[in-house]
Amino acid sequence: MSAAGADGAALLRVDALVTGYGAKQIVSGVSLDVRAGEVVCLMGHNGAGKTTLVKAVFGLLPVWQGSVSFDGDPIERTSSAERVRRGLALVPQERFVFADLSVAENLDLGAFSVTDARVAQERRDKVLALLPVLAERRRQLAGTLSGGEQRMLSLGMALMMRPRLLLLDEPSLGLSPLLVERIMATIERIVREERVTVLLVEQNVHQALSIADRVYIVRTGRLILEETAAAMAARGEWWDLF
Amino acid sequence: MNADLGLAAQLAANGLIAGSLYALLGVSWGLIFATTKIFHFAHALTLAVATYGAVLVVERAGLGLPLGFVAAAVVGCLFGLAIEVGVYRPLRRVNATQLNVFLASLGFLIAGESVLLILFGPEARALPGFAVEGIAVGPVAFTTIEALWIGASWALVLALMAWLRFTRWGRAIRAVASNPDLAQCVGVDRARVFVLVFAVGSTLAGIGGALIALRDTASPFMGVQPVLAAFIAVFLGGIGSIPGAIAGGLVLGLAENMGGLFLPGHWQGVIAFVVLFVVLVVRPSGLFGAR
Repeated sequence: MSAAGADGAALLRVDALVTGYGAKQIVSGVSLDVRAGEVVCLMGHNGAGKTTLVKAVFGLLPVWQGSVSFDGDPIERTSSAERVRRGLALVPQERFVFADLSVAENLDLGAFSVTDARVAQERRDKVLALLPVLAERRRQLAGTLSGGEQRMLSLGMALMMRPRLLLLDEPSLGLSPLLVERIMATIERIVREERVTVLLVEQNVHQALSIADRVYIVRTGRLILEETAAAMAARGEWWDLF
Repeated sequence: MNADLGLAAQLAANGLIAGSLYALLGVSWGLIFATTKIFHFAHALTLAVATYGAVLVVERAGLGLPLGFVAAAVVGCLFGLAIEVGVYRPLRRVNATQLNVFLASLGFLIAGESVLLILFGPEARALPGFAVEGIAVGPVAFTTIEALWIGASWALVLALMAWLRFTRWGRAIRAVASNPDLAQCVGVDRARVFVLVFAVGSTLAGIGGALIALRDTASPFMGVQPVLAAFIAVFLGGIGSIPGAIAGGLVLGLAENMGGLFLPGHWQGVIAFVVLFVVLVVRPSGLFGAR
């Protein structure tokens, strides 16, 4: 669980959100909130609408109905670029690095919204200290990194944005159990040291519960359960929820 | 034997001259295609309109060739931007398919060429004001215009490469070309990047058109052949790769001209498509594209 703990104020509030792709509705009236300092996990079966929900929160999909507010301000009509400037960052589920660009260039792009080169340099130094594997591979093309290293790079890019809310879409996808543990430990460290609030989409229940404060379960585009990670862990059996 | 070597050297020089211009036009079109995925056939119209801009400034207004080149760059830039904002952006808004966008581009080219024909007539226009002299280096002869083609094309291509590599917006363009969704995730405004690549690519096309008109002439249909060469250069080099477009342009220019050792000159156009066909069969991703 996050060391920072929740301070009670909702940093992200999603209210009765409806969205989808083209004419197909995927998410049907989801409401949730993420308080500053929390790690909140969004779980559910494949196709439940978790990624669609996160994309709409970040502005990659339009909000058909409902609202999204960040730090009290409505953001559902703003661009993704504006949401990045306000402090949101998204690490997508797939294709999460610029494969044709070097590790250093990927990190620089993470700080794209920063126009002061000195500030960007400071952030890069800090990220490389936090994720030293990236420092060793700075000149390498991102597409030639291993799966775990690419995941580390995607986290590094997100940190370059200095986000207040980090949206992580299945960071364990496609990784070996050992690498999943490593990635989760890195996320936990980022939360602790950088005091970042996290909305985590994850299907690896054990790993997710080890770092989450609260959990939302999504089924066919609707929320069916909200409870603390501790209560969820105490269930011991989760099959009926998915 | 010496005569053969002299001919080969001359054809290689001709290939370098043509290839340099193909490289410039290749990167101008390839930058737009790699970033926006729009098969921008109307680039040929941008080239022609910008060249007429230069002709009007030099011939009608008598303002001199340097200002003619400035006019070609500015008109090219503005015309390219107008196509992006006035044609492609509305089509994207209604989720038009790539085929629909291509057809719109082709239609815009045909309509635009007709308008140029109505406005300026069918006769070719020269772009005057350049002192043409012959230069001989050993067995190779070329003109000062052709030397300018090589110098200007390489200066622009290298400047573009440096800009893409070392500047914030250059990296943003490469990011959108590499992974448009992730580019949005890091806060890059895709619409702004599209505007930028149309501005830069169309400026280069405009300058390329003025360079062509210096040696040849301006006409309403002048853009199609050079822009076809640009397409071939991009596909030869590998889509998405600026060094690939440069190499593709050079290979195309050299192949067209060196082919003269074995075939009559009027086979040049056939050679270009044979080279493209062979590369697409042997290495479909192009010379510099990812396998």
